[in-house]
Amino acid sequence: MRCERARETLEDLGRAEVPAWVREHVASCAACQAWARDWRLIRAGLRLLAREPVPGASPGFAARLARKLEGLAAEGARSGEFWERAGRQFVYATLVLALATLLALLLPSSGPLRGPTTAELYAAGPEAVTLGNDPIFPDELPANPTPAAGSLALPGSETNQR
Amino acid sequence: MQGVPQATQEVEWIRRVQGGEREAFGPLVELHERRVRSLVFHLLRRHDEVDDIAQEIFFKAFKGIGSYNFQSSFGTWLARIAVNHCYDYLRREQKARVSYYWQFSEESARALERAAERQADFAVDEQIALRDLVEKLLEQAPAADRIVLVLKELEDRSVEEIAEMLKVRVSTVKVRLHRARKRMLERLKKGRLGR
Repeated sequence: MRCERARETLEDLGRAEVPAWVREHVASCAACQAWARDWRLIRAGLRLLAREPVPGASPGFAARLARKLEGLAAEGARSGEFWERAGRQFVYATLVLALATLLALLLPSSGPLRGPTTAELYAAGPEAVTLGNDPIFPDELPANPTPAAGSLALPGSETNQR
Repeated sequence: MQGVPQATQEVEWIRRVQGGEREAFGPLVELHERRVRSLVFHLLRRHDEVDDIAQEIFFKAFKGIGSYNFQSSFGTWLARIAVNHCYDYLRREQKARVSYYWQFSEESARALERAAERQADFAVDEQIALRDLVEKLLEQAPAADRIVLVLKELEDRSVEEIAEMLKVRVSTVKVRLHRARKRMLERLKKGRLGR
């Protein structure tokens, strides 16, 4: 315990005077003597490293940094333009979508502006469904739309064979 | 410019940069360049890379200056950026580096021990050996240990300053320092046992 306290005190001392009790303890403790010698070595080495001259700025340090910052500013402006353009396009797209939704909601579900609904066509009977919904081959429709028993021929398959 | 007028001037420069005036960053760089350079050099010990890394740090500071809220000094805020940047660098470097076992020569070890025991100044050749030895010990230290040791022993910062820089409590800095020194001494012992 005393060893630990003595070592901590020596570590935190810096350039201050070693307290008497620490000096007495170290003098009587071989382990702390070895520790103090190693710590002196390390501390002296650290001081030598601290005294080493720091390399000065190379010529053009400030100019290079200024160029880098200019690049950053230009990049920022470009990215700002991009986001502005993207934002504008997003707003237009949203407006178009909102308008389409509004129109869909406002238009009546039937009437002169809109054809009969599927439900209405089904309610009208099978002929109405076939005739009303098949604008591709209106002339080729058989008189009786119900196929003969055992026949799988469809109006479309006749056209393909031709 | 000294003391309060300099601080006032510094605040003005910072506000101008925050307001989008890029040119006001120049005097801030000039004011803090030496400190940042010293921190980078002591932490990384790379003579040839100090310039580039200092540039990267100032670049980061410029990008982040909008978030500086004047709660700590600008120097401390900048030092925090520098420490974090160097920490990342050290971590990358330590991952990439092949670790090697080292021993210092018996002759130089004995000479250093004798000098340490007599508590006298070290001779020039001893100083060189000692410098190399401690540099190696620092190189081998984990990045976190190296940072607290360098800030305290080489940069001569107070524990309070280090705590502010690392955003930890003062007591945490003291504990980290104690452990870092202990580990350094253990590595020194290991090196000596190997001879």
